[in-house]
Formats: sequence, C-alpha cells, structure tokens
Amino acid sequence: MSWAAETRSILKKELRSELRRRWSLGLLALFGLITVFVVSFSLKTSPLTSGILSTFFWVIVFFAAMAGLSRSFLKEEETKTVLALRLLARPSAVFWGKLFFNLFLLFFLELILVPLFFIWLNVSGTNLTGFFLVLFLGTLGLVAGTTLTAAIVAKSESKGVLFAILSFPILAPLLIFAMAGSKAAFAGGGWEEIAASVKTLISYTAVMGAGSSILFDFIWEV
Amino acid sequence: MSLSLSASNLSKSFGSLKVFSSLEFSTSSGEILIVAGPNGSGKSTLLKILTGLLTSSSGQVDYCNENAKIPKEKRREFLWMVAPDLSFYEELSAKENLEFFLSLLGRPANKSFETLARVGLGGRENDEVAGFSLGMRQRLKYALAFLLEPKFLFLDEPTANLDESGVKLVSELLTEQKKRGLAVVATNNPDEYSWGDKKLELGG
Repeated sequence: MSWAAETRSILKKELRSELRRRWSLGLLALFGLITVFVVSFSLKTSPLTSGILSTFFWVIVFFAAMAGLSRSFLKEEETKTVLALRLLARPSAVFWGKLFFNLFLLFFLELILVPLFFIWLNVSGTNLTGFFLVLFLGTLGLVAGTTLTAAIVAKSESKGVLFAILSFPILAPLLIFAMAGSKAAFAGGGWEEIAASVKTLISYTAVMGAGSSILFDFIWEV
Repeated sequence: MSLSLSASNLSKSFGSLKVFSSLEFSTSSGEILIVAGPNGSGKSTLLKILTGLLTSSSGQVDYCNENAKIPKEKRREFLWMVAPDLSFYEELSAKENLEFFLSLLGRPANKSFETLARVGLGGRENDEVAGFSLGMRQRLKYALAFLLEPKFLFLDEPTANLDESGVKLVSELLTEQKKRGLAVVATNNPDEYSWGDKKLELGG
C-alpha cells in the first residue's frame, strides 16, 4: 500500500465520519457566522481601517481554528479508536490524512466567513488576488502548526487549554505576517507591499509542514 | 514459514509502581502462549508492549521471520490485537470499518460480507457500530482478525462479552492461527488455559 493511498484512505474516513456526525463543520459555521455578525453589528457606524479589518479577520480564523481543528485527534483518543489506527496505519499517513482534513475544515469556514466579512463590513478597494493568496498561505501554515499541536494535546488531561497555549507561540509568527499581508491587501496595495508577507508565509508553511511531519512519528509512538 | 516472538529482560513501571520486571519468554510458529495472572498483574500492559502500543521501561521485544528480525515499522503488516479497550468508529457501519482498516494495509475487502456472517453479524453489515452491543463489537474485532490473517495475533480477555457461540468462534480463530503463525492470549479465565501450548504467569 503506497503512502498516498493510505493517506487518501484516512482522509476519506475523516470526511465520511464528519459528514455523518458534523462535529466540526457545524461548530465552525456557527463560529464564523456569529463572530462576523457581532463585529459588523457593533462597528457598522465606525470607519474601519485596513489594519482593523485584517486584525478582526485573523482573530476570527485563529479562534475558529482553535475551536475546530483539535477534534480529529481528540475524538480518536476519546473513543479509543486510536489503538486500532496505531496498530495498522503508517504514522506519516495519519498525519497527512488529518492535515488534509483540517485543511478542508478551514477552507469550509473561510467559504462562509469571507463573503459575510466583505458584505457585512462593507469592505471595498481590496486587492483580491493578494488577499486570497495571503489567505491561502496563512491557512496552510495554520493547519500545519495546529495539526501537530492537536496530536500532542490529544494525550493530555487539560486538552482545550493546552491546545491554545501550545498553538499560540507556534502560530504567532504566522499570524503577524498573515495580518500584515492582509492589511496591505485590504488597503488595495500592490505586489510590492504584499511580497514580504507572502515569502515569509511560504517559508513558514514549508518549515512547519516538514518539521511537523518529522516530529509526528515520535508523538504518535509515545 | 518460521516465525518467533521473544521478549528479553522486559520491565514496565508507571512512576514508582512496578508492574513487572525482567520478563523473559519466547514463542514460535504454531504455538499459543497464554499470559495468566490476577487483575492488575500487567497482562494487558504486556500485550500493549508486545504490539508496540506502549513502550517498556527496559528490555526488548523481537519479531522474527525466518530468523530475520522484522523491523518495527514493518510489524503492522503482520499483527492484530483484539482487546476490550480497542474500539471501532461508531459513526461508520461494520462494513465501512472493515474496509477502512483493510485499506490501510492495501488488503481487499471482498470477503467482508461472508466474514461478517461468519462472526454472527450477517444482516448488520450496513448498520452503524453505534447501535451494536458490546458482544457484537467484540465479534467485529474478530471479523477483522479473520480478514487480516495476521501472523502474530494478540488477544486480551478474548471471550469478554461473548456468548457460547462467540467463545466457539475464538476457539476456531486460534485453531486457524496455529496453522498461520502464533498467538499470545492474556486471560484469567482457567477454561481458556487449555487453548495454550505455553503459559506465562504474571504477578506470581
């Protein structure tokens, strides 16, 4: 069995389980909807600068990720399905299968979040290509970081708190550059203003993806 | 095929609690090793160490095929364990669970229906595991054991939650296993000692 086929099997199982029970999809949809509604309702009359828009956007994405992305590993531990998975699955296939599933979840959130954010907060003049590029890279980095953290905290006692505590320092550099890139895009800035953030996000994602993939084997075996 | 499983100087402690120490044993093709002992003597812990689900405090476990050691990362292709604290996905059907676990090793799932019928789950193939009783869940673990045909089989409390026909099923599986490879069975039920060719007593 090739690594790719095994990863695909795990992703397929995750999607099937999620679509049947909707543990995370419902949570993420509700989180996106409520947060954008609250922000737009309270700030409708205030002029929003590109910096404020960018901050709000990534705060929502970060907290939604904290709420939704730890579920896949937690559920395996809580329902004790992790034992059969550890007996039969290759660790790297588990990591990448879960990572692609988390990517699906976050893209689903953004599918709801982005249109609502632009419409309810009257966002205009944005460099859309730049914004979506930063969003795509930021999402990849966020998922690479949180998938590993989720695997670490799944075995601990105080899972929820530890997930946020461990994730924050890992994700802080990513959030800083994602916010800077989005700020420039919201202000309608060109490639020159977004380039530095984009390059940093690509490097961060590559390092985090490779590092997480290597470290996961050790976490999975413990 | 000549297979063997051996443990040397195996010890396990949880903090200051010593579960067992300096265990030495080996078993080979065609044999069933019974691990006996009272509750808390470390039978389940030993099986988890042998399958790689737990790490030992000291000592080592070797899987051999034709006198060549099977590396740790390859062992998943050779082993399966049935244990009370091992569960399947409740939101998936019996057939989907079997298909998923078989797909991880690239094994075909074309015998799933007949195997489910063999373990007494015929007609329930497409039902979610969430609706299964404990005995039915145990039978599903045995269905996977029949389909995987592992060379190294580990059974922890093999007849827990099973009725008379379920116990017979375990006996059939072990008879097949003796032809295919070896098995380690952890139990404190004296009726099950007769299945074994060797016995390792823990906590004595």
